[in-house]
Amino acid sequence: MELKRRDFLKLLGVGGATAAISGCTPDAPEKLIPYLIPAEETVPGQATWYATVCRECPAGCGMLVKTMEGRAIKVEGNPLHPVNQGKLCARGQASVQGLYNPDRITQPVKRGTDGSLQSISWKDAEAVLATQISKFKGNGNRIAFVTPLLTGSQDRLVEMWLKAVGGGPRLRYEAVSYESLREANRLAFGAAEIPYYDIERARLIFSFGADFLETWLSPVEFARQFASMRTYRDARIARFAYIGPRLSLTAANSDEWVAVQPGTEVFLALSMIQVILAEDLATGLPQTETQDLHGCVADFTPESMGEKCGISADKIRVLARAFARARPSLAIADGKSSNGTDTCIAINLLNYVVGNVGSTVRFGSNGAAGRVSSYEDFLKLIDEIERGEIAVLLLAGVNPLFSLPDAKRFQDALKKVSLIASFSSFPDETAAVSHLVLPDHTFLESWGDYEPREGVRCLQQPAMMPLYNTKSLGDVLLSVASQVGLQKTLPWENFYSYLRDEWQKIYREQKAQEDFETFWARALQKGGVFQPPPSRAVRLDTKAIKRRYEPPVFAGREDDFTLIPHPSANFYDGRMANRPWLQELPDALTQIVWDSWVDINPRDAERLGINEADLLVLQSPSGRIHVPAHVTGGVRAGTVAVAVGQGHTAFGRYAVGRGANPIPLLQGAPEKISGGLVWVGTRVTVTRSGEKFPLATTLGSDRPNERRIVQTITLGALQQQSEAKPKPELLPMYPEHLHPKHRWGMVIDLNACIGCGACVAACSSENNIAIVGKDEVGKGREMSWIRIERFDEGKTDRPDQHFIPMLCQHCDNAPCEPVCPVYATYHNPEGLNVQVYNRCVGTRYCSNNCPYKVRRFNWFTAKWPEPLNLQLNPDVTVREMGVMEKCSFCVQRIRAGELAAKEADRQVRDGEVVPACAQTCPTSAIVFGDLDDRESEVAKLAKDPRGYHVLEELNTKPAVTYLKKIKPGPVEG
Amino acid sequence: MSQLTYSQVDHDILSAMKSPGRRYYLLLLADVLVLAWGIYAWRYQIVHGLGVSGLTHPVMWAIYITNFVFWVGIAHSGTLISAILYLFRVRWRAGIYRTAEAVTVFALFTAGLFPIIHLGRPWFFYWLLPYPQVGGLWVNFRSPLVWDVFAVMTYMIISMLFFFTGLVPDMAVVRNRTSGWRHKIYAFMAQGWQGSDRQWRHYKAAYLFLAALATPLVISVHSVVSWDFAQTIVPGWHSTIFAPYFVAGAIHSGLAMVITLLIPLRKVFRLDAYLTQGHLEYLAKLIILTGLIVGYSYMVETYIAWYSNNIPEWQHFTYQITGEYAVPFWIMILFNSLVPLLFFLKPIRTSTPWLFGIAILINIGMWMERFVIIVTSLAHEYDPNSWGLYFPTWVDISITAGSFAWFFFWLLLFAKFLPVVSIVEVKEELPPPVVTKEGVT
Amino acid sequence: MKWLAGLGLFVLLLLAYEVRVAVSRKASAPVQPIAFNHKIHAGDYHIACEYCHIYARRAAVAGIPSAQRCMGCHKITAAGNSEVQKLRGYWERKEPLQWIRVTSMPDYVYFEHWPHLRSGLTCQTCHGAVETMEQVRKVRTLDMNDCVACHRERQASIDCVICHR
Repeated sequence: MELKRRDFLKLLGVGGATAAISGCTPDAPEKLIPYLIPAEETVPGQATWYATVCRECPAGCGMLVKTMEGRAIKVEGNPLHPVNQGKLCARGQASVQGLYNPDRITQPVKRGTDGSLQSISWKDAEAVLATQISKFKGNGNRIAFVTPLLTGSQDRLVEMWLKAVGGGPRLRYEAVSYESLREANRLAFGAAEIPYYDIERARLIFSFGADFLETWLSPVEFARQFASMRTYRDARIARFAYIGPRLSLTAANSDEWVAVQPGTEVFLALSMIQVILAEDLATGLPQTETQDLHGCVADFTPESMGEKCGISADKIRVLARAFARARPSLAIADGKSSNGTDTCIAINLLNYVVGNVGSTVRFGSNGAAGRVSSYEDFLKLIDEIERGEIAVLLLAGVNPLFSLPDAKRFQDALKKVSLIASFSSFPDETAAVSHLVLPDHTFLESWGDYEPREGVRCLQQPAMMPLYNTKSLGDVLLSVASQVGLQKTLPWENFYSYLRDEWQKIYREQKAQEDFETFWARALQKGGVFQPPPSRAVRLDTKAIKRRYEPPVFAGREDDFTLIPHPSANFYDGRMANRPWLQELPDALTQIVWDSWVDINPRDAERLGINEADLLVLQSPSGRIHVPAHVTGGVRAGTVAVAVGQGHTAFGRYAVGRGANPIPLLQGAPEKISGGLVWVGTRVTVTRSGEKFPLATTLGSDRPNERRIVQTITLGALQQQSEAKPKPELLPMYPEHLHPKHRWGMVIDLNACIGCGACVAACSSENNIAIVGKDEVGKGREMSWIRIERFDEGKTDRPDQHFIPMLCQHCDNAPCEPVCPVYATYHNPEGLNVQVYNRCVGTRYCSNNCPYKVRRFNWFTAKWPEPLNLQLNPDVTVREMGVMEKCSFCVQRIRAGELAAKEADRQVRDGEVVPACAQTCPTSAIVFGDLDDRESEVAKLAKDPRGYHVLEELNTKPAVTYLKKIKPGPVEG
Repeated sequence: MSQLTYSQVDHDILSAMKSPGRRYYLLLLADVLVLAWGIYAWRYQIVHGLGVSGLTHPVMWAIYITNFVFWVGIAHSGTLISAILYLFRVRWRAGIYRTAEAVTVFALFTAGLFPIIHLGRPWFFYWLLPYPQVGGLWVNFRSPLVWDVFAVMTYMIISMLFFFTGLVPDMAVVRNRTSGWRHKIYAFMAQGWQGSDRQWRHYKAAYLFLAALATPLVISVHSVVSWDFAQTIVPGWHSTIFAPYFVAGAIHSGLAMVITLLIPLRKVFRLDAYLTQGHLEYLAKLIILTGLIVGYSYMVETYIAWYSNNIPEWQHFTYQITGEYAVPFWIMILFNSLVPLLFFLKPIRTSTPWLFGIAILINIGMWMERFVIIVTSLAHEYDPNSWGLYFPTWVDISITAGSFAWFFFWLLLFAKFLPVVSIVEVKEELPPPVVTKEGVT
Repeated sequence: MKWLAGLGLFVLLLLAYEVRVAVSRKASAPVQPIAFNHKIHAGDYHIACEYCHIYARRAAVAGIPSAQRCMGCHKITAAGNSEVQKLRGYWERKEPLQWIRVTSMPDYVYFEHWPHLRSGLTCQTCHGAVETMEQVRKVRTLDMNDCVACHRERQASIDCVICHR
C-alpha cells in the first residue's frame, strides 16, 4: 500500500493526472508460501541462538548468533565465554557482513590456461587438486600448506593430512604476529609462549607500544579488564602510561603519553630497571640475581638513556619509582622495531624485578598467538618456491599478497608453482593469482573449534545453512584424501564426524559423569569447554639477560621520517576491509571514513608546508605510496604513521581502490633474533604531490568550544565530593510527563568508554542502519544512530582526547517533540522519545531543534546489495526516503522484554532488556534500565556524584546520564 | 494629473491591456522555460529524494525555507500599501496599490509552494492540514509549522478578497469595453457593477472592512513565520525580537519589490502620468523608515547575543561575521540597512535608475538576510562535533529560479488581463467632467 | 482561477484514491490454488483454528499449515476428493503451495497474534466467522482506524510504538 500510495502522489506531485490514474491499478496479490515440512525448532518470527566462536582475529571470543527463519541476522558476545564475557568488538559485530558479503566467491572456480576464470563443480575441483596431490605425493615436501593460525582439531587435521600426503612445509601465517615477544620469553624464562596478562589486577600499567585496546593479542578481553582496573574504588584509581612514538587509541586512554623515539623503548625500560635496583626498590629477588641484574643494567643510567629516548632523566626516575611502588604493576610491549626482542627482554626484566612475573604476568596458559609461524619461515617458503621445490601450494584463508612487504617477490615466485589452490571465501589478492579457488564457508556456516589459550576450548558450530555452493576446508581435505587413497589414515567421511571424534578425547579427559551426547550438547550450548588457564612458575635465565641490547636500526635516509605502520582498529590486518559497516565506522582518533591517511606532526607539516588532506608521496627504499595527510600531534615529530588495512587491489567492491597499504614500504628483512617482521624499521621520504585529496570525516570541530559536552573530574575533586550535588530545578514549559509503568533510561560511564566504536557497529547491525558511502558521509549524511564524539582538550602538539558516545537522549522535555507538525515524534508513557517513521512527512524541524544533533534523515532510499539484505532485522522497519530516524533505545527489544514479562505475568527484571550498544560494549560503559525502579543498576548509577547531563542548561531533562571521566593526572613517583 | 480627463484615463490604463506584442511573448516564453526547468528539478527531487539538494546534517533547512520567508515577506507590500494607506486616506496610494496587491497575491502563490517543496515526503503534505486523520489523529497544534499553515492561508484568503473587491468597479469599465468570452469573464468579475449609489455605498463599506481586517494580518503573518525560528532553542533563532524584526524586514523587502516592479511597468505601459516620480519618492521615504528599523534590529540582535552572556549565542554571532557565510552576512548589513540611507538624499530618491538599483539591492539583501539567519544558525549549533556546512546544488538553484519564474508568470498575465492602475481611484483624484458647448471635457 | 481548478481536481483525485484504498482493504475473496473450504473443516467438523494455524498463540504470525500437516489427515480422509487430489499432487511434487494472502498489514505495522489471543480475543473478532465461509474473505478493514477503535474500546494501549517501530 505504502509504495502504491507514494507512487500515486509522486506522479500527482508533478501534476500528471492521467499518470495518477494508472497508480490506481489493483495491487498485485501477495503470496503466502508455507513450509512443505515445518522446521523443528523454529517458530516464525522468533529468534534461535547458536553459540560459536569468532574467527575474525586470533583472540577467539565466544559468540552467540541470532538466527531468524534460518538466517543469521546478528552476533553477540557469549556471556559464558572466559575471554570476552559477552562482549564483542566492532570487527566481531561485522562478521555477519562477511557472511552476507555481496562479493563472496559463490562456487569453485578454475583458472584456464588463458588466465580466464571458469566455474566448475566441486567434483571436478577436488579432482584437479587430487590429481596434483597424487602426482607429487610423498616425493619430498613438494606440497606446501599455508593456513592462518589454527588450533585444536582443525590444526591437527591439516597436520595429519599434510603428513599423509607426504607434504610440507606447513605454515600458520598471521600478518599480525608476536615473534619477538615469544622469543624474548624463551630467552628470559625458557618459555616460548605468550603468557596471560592480568591487566585487571594491575595498579599501574606501562604499555611500550602495545595497543591492547585495539588489536594487540585479545583486545576485547583487555578492554574489559582495563575498564575494571580503571574503576574508582576506595578513593583510588589504577594508572596507565603509554610509551611509544604514536598516540594510538590505547594511548589516548592513558593518563600519560610518553612519546619516546621509535625503537628506544628498550633503553627506557633498562634505565628504569637501573633506577629500581639502584634505589633498591626491587622485590622478591634473590641476592645473586639482583647483583647479576645490577651488573648488566649499570650503564643504563637515566641521564645517558634520557636523551637517547628523547625524554628527561627525571621523568625516567619518576616512572621507575611509580612502577616499583605500585604493587602489582604490569609492563607490556609488542617489540615491533628491529631490536624488538631486546625490548621484550628488557620488559620481562622490568616485570621480573618488581615481582610481576607470576602475578600479573602468568606463564603456562600458552596463548594461541604463540603458535604462529614466524615471518622468517614464510621467507624460507618463498626461497623454496623460488628454487622450484614447491609444486603445490595450498593457501587457506590467508592473504600474503596483501600483507607481505615484498609481495612482488612472492608473486613472481608463484609462477614456479604448478598448482596454487586458494580456499578463500573472498576474491582477495591471493585468490586472484590462484589456479584453483575452493571457497570455504565463512565461520558462521561451518564446524570447527578454536583454543585461544590452554583450558579454553571453544566449539564453532554453523549458525545457518551455507549461503552458497561452498565447502569447508576440512571436508575438502578429507574427500581429497579419500580420492588419493588415504582412507586408512583419514577414515572420516566428513569434518563433522572427525570433529566429534576429536571431542571424544576431550570428553574422556574431562572425566565427566554424563554420556558423550549430553557432554557434546552442553558444549555446543555453552560454546565450548572452559577451564581456568593453567599457571606455571618460571625462573629468570640470568645468562640470557647478560647481552648487548641493540639500538634500533632503520632502512632509509638518516634525516627521513620513521614510518610507523600499525594494524587498524577497524580492519585489523586488512581482512575486514570488505565490511561496509567498518568502512563507514569513523576511525576513533580522526573520524575519517572509507579511506586511509598518514599522521604527521604539526611541526613537520609546517616545515614541509603540508596542510590537512594534501596528498603526500611516501617513498621508502622498497616502495612508494600516495596517501593524504592528517596533521596531528598524535605522532612524535620525525615520525609518520599509516594504518594497515586499506589499499586493496582485489577484495570486493567495498575494499578495492580505497586508501593505501603501507606494508610494501617496509624494507622487509626479518628481525635478527626472533625472525619476526620489523614493522618500525623503515624511514620514508615525505613529499607533497601537489594535489588535494578529499577526506570524508564525520567530525565538525573537535575543540570543546566551552560547551562542556565531555566533562571530567580530577581525582582530588572526586575524593572531596561524596554524593551528587543537588541541581537547581528549572521550570518546565509544558506539564511534565507521567511514567506509570517504566521510565527507560541509560547511564554512560565516560571513565570506562574507550571510544572503540563497538556500540556503533552493534547498532547498525540491530537497527538496519543504512550505509551511505564516502561521498554522502562527506556531506554529513551518515545514518548511525549512535556516534563516538571525540573532543581534544589538549594543545595541538599534545592532544588530550576524550570520547563520548552520543545518541538520542530521550529527553523528558524534548525540543524535537513540540515542533513536529504531525506528531511523528512524541514522548511515550515509558519515557521513550518515539519516532514514528510512517507518520513522518520530513519537515526536519525536529532535527533543527535537537541540540544533540542525533536525528538522522533519509536523504535517499537506502540500498542493500544482495545478499546483504538478508541480514536485515525483521523486528525493525526499514526506513524509506524522506523520513527522520534516530535511536529508539532498541524499542523492539523493550517490547520483546515486556511481552515476555507479560506472558509469565511478572514485572520486567532489571537487565532483562539490553539495547545492542550496551550489550556489546567491551567495557560495559553503557548501562540501560528502568529509572523508576529504585533497585535497578541504572537508577543507582544515575545518582552517582560523577553524573551529569549533556547541555543540562537547556533543561531538556535527558534520560541519558553521563558519568564524568576521571583524570588522575600524570604518573607520580 | 489635472490635465487628464476620465476618457483619457480609461484609454491610457486600458491600452496596457491591448493584445500584446512580440516583446511580451518573448518575455513570457523565456519565463515559462525557466519555470519548466524549475518544475523538472522539483520532479527530480521528488523521485530521487531530498538528497539531490544541498541540504544536509546539520543544515536541514536552507534556501527552500529562505525562499518561503522571502516570498512571504514580499507579500507584505501589497496589503501594507493598500490597506494601511487606505485607512490613513493617503491619496498617492491610488497609482500603485493595484500592482502592490497583485504582488502580494502572487508572492503568496509562490511562498505557499515551498513548505511542500521542502518536505521529505511531499506526497503527504496534506497531513499538515487540520482535519481528523487516521485513528482520530490531528495535527500538532503546538508546532509553529501548523501555525504557519493557518497564518499564511488566512493572509492569502483576505488578500485575494481585498484584491478582487478592489477590482470590481474597474472590471465594470473593462467589461463595457470588451466583447465575447472576455466580456463574460470580466462581467463575472464585475459582479454586475453598475456604479449606482447603493453599490458604491456597499462597496466602500466592504472595502473599508477588508482593509481593516487585512491590516493586523500584515503584523500577524510574519510574526508567525518568525516564530518558526524564535520558538526553537537554536542559537541565532531563539530570540524575542524576531517577530517585529521579521515584520519590519518583510515590509522593507515588500516596498523594494514594488519599486522594482513599478518602474518597468510604468515605462512599458507609459503610465508616467499615473505612477509619478512622486509616488516612488513616497515609497523611497517609507524604505528609509523600514531600513532604519531593520538596521536597528541587527544591532539589537548583536547586543542581545553579547548581553545574554550565553556562549553558544555569542559564538554564533562571531561565526556569522567571520565564518564561511560572512559574505552573505555583510551583504545583508550593507544592502538592507546602509544602502537605503542614500534615500535621505533627494536627488537619489528622485532618480529612477538609483531607485531601481537600490530596490534590487534591497531585494538581494533581504534574501541574504533570511539565508544568513537560517543557514548560519543551523551550521553551528550546540554540538561542535556535528557542525557542518551547506552548499546549494543545481536542484536548489533551479527550484529557486523556477519560483521566481512562477511569480513573474502570474505578474505577466496580470499586466495583460487586469488594469495595473486603479481606474476608479485615479478618477477620484480628477475633477468630475463638466458639460460645455464643446461637449464633455 | 486555474490553480483553483487544479486544486479542486487534486482533491477529487485524492478522495477517489482514498475511497479506492478503503475498498481494496475490504478485498473480495481471492481464488486460492486449492479451493480449501473452511466451512467444512472449521464449521462442520469443528476443527479448532489453532489445529492448523499452530503459531497463533505463541508467535506474531498465526502460521499457514504445512503441506505435511494437511496430508496428515488427507492421506486417508477424503482422498478421492478432487481438491485433495490437487493437494496430493503438490505434496508428491514437493512443490510448495502458494496461497493468496487475504489479510495483510503494511510492513511498517508490527501486529502480533499471541498477545491478542491471550487477552481473550477470538480469531473471529478480526477474521469474522471463517467457519461459515466456503471461501475466506476479509470482513474488516483492519486499517489503523479499525485497530485504534478496538484498542480504545478495550482500554488497550494506543501508544504508537506498540505497532510502529
